[in-house]
Amino acid sequence: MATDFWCSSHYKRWIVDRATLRQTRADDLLYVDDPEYLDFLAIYFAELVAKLGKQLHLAQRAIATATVFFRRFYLKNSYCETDPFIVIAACCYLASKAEEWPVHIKNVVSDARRVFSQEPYNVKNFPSDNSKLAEMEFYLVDNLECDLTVFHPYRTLLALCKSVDGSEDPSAVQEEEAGEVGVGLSAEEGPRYWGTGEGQLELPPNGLQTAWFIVNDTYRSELCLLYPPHLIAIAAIYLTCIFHPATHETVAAVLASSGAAAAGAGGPADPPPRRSSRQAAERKKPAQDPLAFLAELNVSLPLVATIAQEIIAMYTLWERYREDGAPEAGTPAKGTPDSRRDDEPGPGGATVSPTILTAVLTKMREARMQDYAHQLQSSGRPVAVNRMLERTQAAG
Amino acid sequence: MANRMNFLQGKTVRKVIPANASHSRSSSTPQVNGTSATIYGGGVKDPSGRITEYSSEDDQCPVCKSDKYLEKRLRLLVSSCYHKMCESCIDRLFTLGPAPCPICSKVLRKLAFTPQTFEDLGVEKEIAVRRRIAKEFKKRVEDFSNLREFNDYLEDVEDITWNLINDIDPAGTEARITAYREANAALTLLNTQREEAYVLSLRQAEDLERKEKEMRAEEQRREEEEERAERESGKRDIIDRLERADDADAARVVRRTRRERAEREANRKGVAPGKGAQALLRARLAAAAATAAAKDTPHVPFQDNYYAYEDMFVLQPVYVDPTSEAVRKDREGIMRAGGFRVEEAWERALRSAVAGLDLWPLGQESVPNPQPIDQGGDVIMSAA
Amino acid sequence: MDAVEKANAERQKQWAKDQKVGEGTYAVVYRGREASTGRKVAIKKIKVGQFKDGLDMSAIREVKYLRELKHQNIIELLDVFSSKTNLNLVLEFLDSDLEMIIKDRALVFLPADIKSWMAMTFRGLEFCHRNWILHRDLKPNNLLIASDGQLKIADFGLAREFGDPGYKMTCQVITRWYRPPELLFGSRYYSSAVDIWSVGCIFAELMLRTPYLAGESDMDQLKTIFRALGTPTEQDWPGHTKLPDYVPIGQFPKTPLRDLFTAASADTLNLLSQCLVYEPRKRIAAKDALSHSYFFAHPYPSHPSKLPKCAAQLTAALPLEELDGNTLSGKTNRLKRKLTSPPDETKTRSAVARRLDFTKPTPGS
Repeated sequence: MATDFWCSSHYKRWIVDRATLRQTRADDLLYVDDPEYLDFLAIYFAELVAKLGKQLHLAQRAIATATVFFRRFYLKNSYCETDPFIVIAACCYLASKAEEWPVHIKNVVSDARRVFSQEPYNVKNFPSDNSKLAEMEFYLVDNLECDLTVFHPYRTLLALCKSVDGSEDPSAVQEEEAGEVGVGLSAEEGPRYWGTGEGQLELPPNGLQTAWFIVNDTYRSELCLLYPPHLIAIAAIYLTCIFHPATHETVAAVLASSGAAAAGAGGPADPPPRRSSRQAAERKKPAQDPLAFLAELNVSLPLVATIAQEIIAMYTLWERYREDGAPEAGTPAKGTPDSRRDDEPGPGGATVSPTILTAVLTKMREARMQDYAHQLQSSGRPVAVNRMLERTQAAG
Repeated sequence: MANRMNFLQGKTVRKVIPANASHSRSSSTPQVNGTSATIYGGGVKDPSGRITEYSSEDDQCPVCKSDKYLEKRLRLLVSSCYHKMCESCIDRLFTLGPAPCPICSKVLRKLAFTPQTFEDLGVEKEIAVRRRIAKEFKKRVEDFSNLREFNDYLEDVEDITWNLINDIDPAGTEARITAYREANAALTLLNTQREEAYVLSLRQAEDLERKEKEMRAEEQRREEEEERAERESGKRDIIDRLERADDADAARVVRRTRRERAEREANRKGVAPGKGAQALLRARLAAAAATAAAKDTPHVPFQDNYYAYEDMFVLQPVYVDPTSEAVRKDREGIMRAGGFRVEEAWERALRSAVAGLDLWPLGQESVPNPQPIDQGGDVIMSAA
Repeated sequence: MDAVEKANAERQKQWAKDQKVGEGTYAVVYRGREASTGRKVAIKKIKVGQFKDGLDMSAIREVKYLRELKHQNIIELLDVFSSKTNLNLVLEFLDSDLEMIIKDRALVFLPADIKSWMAMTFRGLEFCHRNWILHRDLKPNNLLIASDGQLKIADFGLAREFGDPGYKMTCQVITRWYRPPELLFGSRYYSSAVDIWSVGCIFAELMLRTPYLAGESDMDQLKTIFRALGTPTEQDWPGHTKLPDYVPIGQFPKTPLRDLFTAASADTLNLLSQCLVYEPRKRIAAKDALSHSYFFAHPYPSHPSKLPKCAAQLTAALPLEELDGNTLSGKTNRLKRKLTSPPDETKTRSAVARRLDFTKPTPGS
């Protein structure tokens, strides 16, 4: 289900607005001291999913799917009433199957036990029994309403950009030139012909990789519940143009040249965006302007800007999230750390570590349990403590 | 086979044409009945299913030369080689087993004689040949891809028929028929079944129609009955009331009663067809609708405009993308031989990119396209 | 959570479960009704068992794809609800399948009927392929027939996405008789062409009224294919000798399809041969098949309502009619093409053979 995002369950049932999202956290807000912790928890959980996924050798897409499953599950549930750790394991297990990367349930259980019991998390009571995880998987599928198809920004990213890398082997370069037949892109020319290679944004070496990492990072926020994936991909391209040093140079050069002189100033002499000579010969166009490229995509640019802002806000928050103890296992942040450090103001608030978050979570859940007990005693009538809670309590 | 037995058992209806009218054709229209089970159909059945036999006062047996004048009960039968002879000759010659025809010496059997329907034996022969050919050659227009082929086929069939009738190259023609039979056995069987099914359906349709007619008649009879009963009771009603009422009221009573009856009648007309008839009507309408809707329509490849998007992109022969590197470097050609199409991966990526671009996401139609880049863009540019 | 449970209970109330009609490896199928309308449905209850190994891969696949695919020629998933520890899929009710119809010797197929079934199969398959889904288990048994004659592709338990370079896929899919040679040779990278081969086999089966390539083992299957279509040469299928499980099978000459399909038109044989091309990349795509001249040539494909139906379906369909009236006309319409002919011993033989076909593909990558 790659093409028909607009007919998909993802678009029809699982894109929500901010207000709804806030509403779903209402229960948790009652038990958390500082609402900001909830945003940190979003990062914390995504990190956990990614770690477990890496441990299980899942493909990036399966990890992304697992994260989306996790977020969707908590659209209907609250952190304090469930055991997020077993939910994470179930998400990874289900995503591995849904993305055709099957892992045996035993491995999921043992790896989850190992990962979660490590230093910053200290979750020692993860059930060693397969059946608990299998049962959780059932509730997860039920809560997801069986919508297991998730769309990701990666495909859009690949179709919209190409990495222009001078160091490729000659045959590849040759092929690339063969692919670049059509040229010139302008909004007046009617529908663009993407397949010609024309219209693809050329990014300098590692540019595409940076964009890819930014997309990975978006799963640390709740963006995947709010916006369609192709917009997230475009926002990631946009941020790459600004944060990635090599790409940024190009952009600056193009902006300067288009500001100073008219067409032709860029030309083949411009080193970073390498274009085939044929392209330059056939049409005298200025060097490709990434901003113009984004402008001409037929999408809502204010929306893209909003998404970009939200990604930046997530990075700001993430800056204050410090892994203590164990070294960071994953690579997701590798592409952007320098940009983060350069562009964002220093940590405004105190840093938050996984240890703190684990404690916060435990406290929330205990408070919730106590309230339940109270209700039970004070009202005299049995409160329908939901079965899920019982089960996850028994587990965690 | 069946009707041959019939005439041997004397069930055939004799039709004797007076000598002076000997040249007139048999009066009943010959009907070729396709569903007949005979293989070499002797004689032609009339609509009531009986065989009308031809005979004339001038009949004379070419073998023993006896004629109607001497032998009142002379009956001539036709052999499979289309020679006539009388029953007593047939008995004499063929009772002891197959024997040569006294006229052309073709070996004949006693059972292979049939009654004569037509005066002209040529006609008799042609009908038999055509009947046989119709059994063998059953292709229909829909079995051919175009009309021309069908016409060629029809011409071939006519050719074979002509040859058989006129005894032109009998061996070659028989060979042609055999060859055709072998090549088309399955289709012939299928078409035979189709014909039978068609006949069956016709019969069922007839049945249905007859039942409907009966039902309608029944309905009508009942209605008339009811009406009469009502009229009776109405009359009685008026008389009753008149008995009770005084003179001044009489006219009013009559008027009122008449009005009531008119109303009742109108009501009945409105409801007109009874329940059974209604159901039948509905069933008929449904059947009619089914036949109307079930008209075969030409093939339409796609029932949506999905591929209208096609003009959004043109797939190129080669792309350089990181994920398909393994395929492009598949020197052994294992993925290629296994049928993996990297083009499908490219097309998939392109479609997923293009599909979103022409739509405003999340119903934000009001957002204008061209300018906002600077506002949105600049804010973040300054942050950079 | 309570809200979720309540919504679930609401949904559960909409559907009434009647008697059990079948049982598969991972599910039990019940006949059911929509409570409000009385419309017939099939309820597939997925066995979760004692939560031992989690949900079956087939169940995941079926749910994942049916949840997204909505097409006239694909079985519709109407709803999903959970009851206690079971997942229930509510599917549209379809009373017969193409296998039953093929085996019913009393039915006569016109060339137009076969064309109509093929067009519907290709339409459904094209819809799967355009959404990048391989079905991987096409066979007459999985092509269900609705009461209005529409053909619907069902059983997505082996389906998966395709078009991702570098993802290995299992070759242990598709029931043996319908499995293409590249899978028999162990290819781990394949494409939509595998489904097309299956459709080709079904096409042939519709004409022959008996399975076209019925091998007794995987090895015998290859031999059966080669005996029917000739051993492929390097030219026919470049690189096939390098496939993981390649073994030389022996040389068989190519025989023209015309020898077996004597009554078929040239268009028919052309489409059939294009579905059964050895080189998978040259096999016709579903999209192109729909534009093949076979479908446009005379006779037009039969209207679905006129297609032959088997006896079981006729009796099953009867109670749906309003019985207060005279349904005779409806019946004659359907019975029109039903003829009595002596039962055929091939029928029982093939039924046994099918039961002996223990292809149980393992779910995997």
